[in-house]
Amino acid sequence: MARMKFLCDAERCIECNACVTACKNEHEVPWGINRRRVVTINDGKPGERSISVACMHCSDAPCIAVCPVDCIYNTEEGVVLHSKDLCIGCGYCFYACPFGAPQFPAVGNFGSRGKMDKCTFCAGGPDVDNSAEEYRKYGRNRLAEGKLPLCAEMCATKALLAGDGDVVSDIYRERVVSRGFGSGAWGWGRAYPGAPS
Amino acid sequence: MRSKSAILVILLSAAVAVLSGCKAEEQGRPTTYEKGVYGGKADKKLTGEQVRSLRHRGGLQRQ
Repeated sequence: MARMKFLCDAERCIECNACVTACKNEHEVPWGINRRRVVTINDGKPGERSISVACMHCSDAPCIAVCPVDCIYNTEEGVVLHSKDLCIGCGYCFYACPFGAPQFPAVGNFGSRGKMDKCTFCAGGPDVDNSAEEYRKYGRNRLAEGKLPLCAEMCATKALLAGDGDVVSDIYRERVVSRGFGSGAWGWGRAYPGAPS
Repeated sequence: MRSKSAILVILLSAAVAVLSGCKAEEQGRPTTYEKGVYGGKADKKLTGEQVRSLRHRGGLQRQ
């Protein structure tokens, strides 16, 4: 199995924000935190495009490189996860991430931000799969149930693709061939250097 | 002289008591740090059946 990847097809995204809502609801993400966001460029002008952005689970994740307590790791499936038991909320990962994925739930005195929170590719965390503890800290573990991230599974236009990198790139390649043009697999060059797109 | 050794004994026992509370299992978290190595709980690998199910669902996005 290849590594897990996200791909947002900017030609199909209609900026409905269903992925954002689904993610928030599925994981009961706290107030002030969005693990996924829809970004629109050239809003209201010709060439307007929307892209759904969250943690891209990079092949060589810069957040892992900068974490001073090494609380972020790569799973066997290529998902970038972190341990909230080890996180000290320093915020280095936020500055390193090219997608602005890491979020911090608290704003307090002395710069305390709370434990980092980010998209888990619906793979939970290092706690026991589908336990109450895992759900409380990281949200639902859909991968352990054999399901893909909810944001992609419920995308009405199938703009947001998730899953095995080979399957995802095959689907996108077929689309580009059939429509005769492609806007590029946004973020792939940065998140997965060397991957076919 | 006697009070000096008594203080020393008290200090030593206090040090032993404090240091014994530094065990990783008592703290419920890793207490040693190795640079570049994730020290938290290990994650479980997906089973073959889970992987097959994920591949199948991935293919359903082909529309």
